[in-house]
Amino acid sequence: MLSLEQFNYLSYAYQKTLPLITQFEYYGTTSVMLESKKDWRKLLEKNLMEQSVEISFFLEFQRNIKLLKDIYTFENPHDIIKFLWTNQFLIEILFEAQEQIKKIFGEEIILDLELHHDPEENWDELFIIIKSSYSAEKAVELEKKLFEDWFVYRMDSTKGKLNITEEPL
Amino acid sequence: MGKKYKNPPIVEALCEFQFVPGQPWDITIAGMLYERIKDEFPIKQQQVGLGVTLQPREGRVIEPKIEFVSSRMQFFSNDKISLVQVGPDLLTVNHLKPYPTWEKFKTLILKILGKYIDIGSPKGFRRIGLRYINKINIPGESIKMEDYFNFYLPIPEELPQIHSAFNISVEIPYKDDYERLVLTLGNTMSEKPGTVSIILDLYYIMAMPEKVSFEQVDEWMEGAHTIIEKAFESCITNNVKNLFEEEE
Repeated sequence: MLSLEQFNYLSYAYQKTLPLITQFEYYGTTSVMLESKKDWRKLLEKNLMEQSVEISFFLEFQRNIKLLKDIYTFENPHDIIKFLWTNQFLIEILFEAQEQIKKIFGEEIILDLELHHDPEENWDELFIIIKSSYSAEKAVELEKKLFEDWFVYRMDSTKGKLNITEEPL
Repeated sequence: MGKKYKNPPIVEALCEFQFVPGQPWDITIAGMLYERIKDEFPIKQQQVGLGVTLQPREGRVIEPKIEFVSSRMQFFSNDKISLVQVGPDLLTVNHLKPYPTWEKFKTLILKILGKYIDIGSPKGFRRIGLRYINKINIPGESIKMEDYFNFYLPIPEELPQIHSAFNISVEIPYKDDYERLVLTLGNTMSEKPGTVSIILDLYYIMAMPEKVSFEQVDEWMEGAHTIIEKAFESCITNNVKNLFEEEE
């Protein structure tokens, strides 16, 4: 029979496997039963001061993809995930791009990711599509500003594998 | 693992060492290790991320604090299939798909560990972990968990028996509780349409500082590997084993 001790959600090793937000939800509970487990504070003091770092390369990648999916709509998800696995240097840029795009285009936008394949050149390129309700002129002006203020400084690190364009919503 | 399969599901195997420091850690330790392993692991990359720590305060208040996690250096082999990660009192050796064999992986781990100990002069191990992450791709839009796994989430009969995202984890204590096997099963992004992808993560941990000496680490790793191997075979049914195609 499974004992509670064997499935102890408050114990250290299990915490390390949970996403941090879930850990916080556990500790922020209003449940009387969970609150009554008094060892939580001791455990926190002892163990949670350590930073939780994902040491699995594979799981770290999965976690990043999950976060990116909250930011971007993946148009062809399987191909994009495969592409990002082999071009992992783009992940950091994609996180940064969201912040830079919102600074210039504002919050009322939709961001898509599309993978384009050029069979003649045998070249794949990922596109960030910024969908906004601005007029065509205004959107082009903002895209130019994004390029001048940020993208031009990051172009080298994209190794020609990432581009940005805009479309009407 | 144990039995040999033509299509093994291991997407990553790793061995993690956290040390009781013998001297304050600094980034030159990573630099010196790189000098000694750069023929095999020439590609270097710095890993800096944001981390959240939960700090207890007076009045049972828990304050989350967001801060930069200390940097970790990653050294990759040319094919980017294996890597060494070094951070403050931390060393990991990771191997991505295709997994070689336990003997080859263990030899690599012990070689890197030996070099780290020479350079960093730690006092001992604070924690050791051996981990195998398996991605199991099962054809079909949906599957019956019990057809494929002996370790799964039973849902009470009164509830709908179909579920989507899930993640279950259990800790099994070993050796008077100072060692643990953490078994985690959960779904993940499927590799291709019409496939259900499941992650079976087997993580064996020793978390008692200085319980295992440097001399005993080889033996500890063998024991951990045997436990993981056994757990893996017990968690999956023959239907899954058939997907991997056992070698004669």
